Amino acid sequence: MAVCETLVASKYWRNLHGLLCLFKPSGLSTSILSFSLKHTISKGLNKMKVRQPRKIVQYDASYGIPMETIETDYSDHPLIIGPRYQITDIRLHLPDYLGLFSSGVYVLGLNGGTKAARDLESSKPLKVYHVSGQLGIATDNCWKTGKKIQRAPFSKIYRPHIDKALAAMQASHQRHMYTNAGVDVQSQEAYDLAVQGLLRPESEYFPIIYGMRCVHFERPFFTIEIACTNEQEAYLLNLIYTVGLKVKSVAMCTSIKCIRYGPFTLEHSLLQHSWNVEQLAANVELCNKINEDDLKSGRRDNVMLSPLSSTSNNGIDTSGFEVEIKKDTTHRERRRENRLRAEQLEKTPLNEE
Amino acid sequence: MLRAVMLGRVCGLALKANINGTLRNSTSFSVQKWPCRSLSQIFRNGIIGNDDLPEAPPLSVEDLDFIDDLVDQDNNKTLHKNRIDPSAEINTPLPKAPPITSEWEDIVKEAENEDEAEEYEDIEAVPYIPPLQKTIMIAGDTTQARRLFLTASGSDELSGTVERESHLIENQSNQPGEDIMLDPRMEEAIAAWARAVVPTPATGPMPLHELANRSKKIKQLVKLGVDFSKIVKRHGDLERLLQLDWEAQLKPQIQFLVDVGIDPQNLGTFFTVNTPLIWTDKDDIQVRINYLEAKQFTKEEISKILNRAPNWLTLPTKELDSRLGFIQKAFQLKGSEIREVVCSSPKMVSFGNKAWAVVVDSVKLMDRELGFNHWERKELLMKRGSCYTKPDTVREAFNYCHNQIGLSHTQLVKHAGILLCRVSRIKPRYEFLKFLKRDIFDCADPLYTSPDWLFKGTIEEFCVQAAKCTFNDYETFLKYS
Repeated sequence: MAVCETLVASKYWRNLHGLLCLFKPSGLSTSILSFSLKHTISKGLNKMKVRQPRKIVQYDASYGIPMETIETDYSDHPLIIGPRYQITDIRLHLPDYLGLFSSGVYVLGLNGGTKAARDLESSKPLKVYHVSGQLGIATDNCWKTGKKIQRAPFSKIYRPHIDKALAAMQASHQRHMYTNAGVDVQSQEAYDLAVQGLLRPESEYFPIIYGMRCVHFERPFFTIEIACTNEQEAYLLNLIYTVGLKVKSVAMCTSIKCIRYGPFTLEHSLLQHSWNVEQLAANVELCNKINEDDLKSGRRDNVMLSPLSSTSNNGIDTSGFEVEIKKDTTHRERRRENRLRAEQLEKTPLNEE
Repeated sequence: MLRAVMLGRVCGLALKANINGTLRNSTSFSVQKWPCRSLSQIFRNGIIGNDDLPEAPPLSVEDLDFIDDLVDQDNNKTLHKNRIDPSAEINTPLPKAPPITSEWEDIVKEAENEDEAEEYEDIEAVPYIPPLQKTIMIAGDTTQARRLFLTASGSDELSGTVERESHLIENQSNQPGEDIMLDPRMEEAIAAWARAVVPTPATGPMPLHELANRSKKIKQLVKLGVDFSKIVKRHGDLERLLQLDWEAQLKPQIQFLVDVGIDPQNLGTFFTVNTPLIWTDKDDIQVRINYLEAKQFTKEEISKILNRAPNWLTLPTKELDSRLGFIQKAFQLKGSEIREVVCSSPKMVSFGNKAWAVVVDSVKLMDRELGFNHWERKELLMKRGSCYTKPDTVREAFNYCHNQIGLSHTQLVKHAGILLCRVSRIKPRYEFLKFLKRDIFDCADPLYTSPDWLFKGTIEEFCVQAAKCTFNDYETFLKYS
């Protein structure tokens, strides 16, 4: 083991607190990613210059003059109690928006940055994906490696067909957002809401799509750019399948790539071959700066909408309409409030139409 | 003697192991259990019998500080050069043991009569006393308890036992002025308090970090580079090691291993990986080396084998012979060829039984699942023996290289390192080459790029020499394509 005398481990350890933006390759599960990351960090730090074992100073007065002897304290030796930086010392917060198949920007919290990562996750940042599919074949898990179960002709499908299907889906989602808030789309209130910023759902379970468009079409392959929140990998896989059905064929997914996560883009992400302590520390510094700028800009203190209230009186109910501007609320507080509201909703009987 | 008893309690295993040893000595003379072991072992066990420790060989003056000499030889290379402290050699007085009361002495005398324990010289005999527990939780009325405590614990005299406590309680209850009702709960609490405060003799083994400063043996081994934090995780190795004596057993053993041809720099890692090497019999080791000489290995080859495989010297010769026989039969090797194989990958031959079973299985895997023919399998063994030790990575890499990239079997054998590589390393490089239309692995083509570039070298080298573009181009391709 070569020891890098010039690099000091504690100096790097101080820099390893904050957000980290990685490029996750597809086929790498998050659990393996976390393990390998912890392993590389601890191994890299232990190769640097670490703290030397303590010294014991003993005084012995038996000689008449007090003699002082200095010994190394073997109970503090790395060969006795293990290396200085251990895997269990490193904490990670891994959000679950990227699954096994998907790749792209993956923002996670490292050591002291776990809270910041949780706050960022709970603020529901806008995520942009490039999802590409192939027409004509359907598989059992909607991914290219799955078992093929269906085939359909695709020779008469053109770009406008896909655009049309996507536009319809996007419109329905946007309308859904405003009805969720209890506001008519064609009203002044809706305009006021839209001015304040991006409308975000409060619950964590309903995926909302803000924009969809076809970026690339070369039959049978096509790529869609999707801006959304609250989605999971399975939802995107399913979406490609439904697009295939809407253009009267079938489709399977060939790649999912996240190109944007809130303020973080592909530019900031670190590729797998450069996951070492020095570059990770530099990346953490960069990401923390971006995160602070994002907090200052006020983009995150956004309109949070109440979940779908019981509708009555011809569709729109103004009594359940609550718009709150929340500042400096933590993840836990929001969650608790959500739970309380859901309980209240359960108690109140639904009005029949 | 007192110290010996204390030690016996500290490492209770030591005594038991010793008793077992004497029992075995009486039986082993009649039946020869280990055919591979040398005669002298049996001789020693059977006839001299009751001697628990083998006699120390005569030590010369040079031997005394030889560990430091060994370390000094490679002082520049070793990791722990900063941690070596010359002052550690001086035998400084140990911290004083807490005062022993008269009651203690009685207990010790009884113990002396009961079992005649032998002394163990190595570990300096300071009893391990767990730190005093200062506070205890008491269920019940706290005011009464406090009063009692004040009377009972005369500041420094913490040596009272349970009996003494009960006396105190009686005295107090007899006093006319104070009427203290003693619940059975209170008595329990006081007993618990006494147990917590009075230093009890240590049960159980001493933790390693406590032991490290007291045992000279551990200090010396740490100087050699032995990683005790790994040995502790294995069951039973540390206990066995602590029973050995430094002067009589460890020191000559280390000297012997160095004389045999093991580089002193490797000894630290060897003992961490394979701790039984410390207590294997010298004659056994000599027999195993003689076996290699009998098979016409040269001296250079032998030293190369011994320095690369930590498990070699603890493997029985019979087992080793059968393994070499298996390799020779399976691959139809000549004598000179098998010597080459052993020299190039001695670790593979000297694996434990489980790992060796993997090797035997993966010979079949190469044949039936991956479809290498006889010549190719032999070539892989000669070039990269470790192909047979990691079947999972080989299977994945083969699947990607053969079915996706389209490399033939002969190409894979020629560039055997690619089979031991992870797909995550090969895949981005191959995709970049494919994007540039440089994925031509045919030797006859003028635009030929070697398959070695898929796994060899750093990424900067790959970009410049194989892909002929900049590092940034490679990164942008991976991110934006």
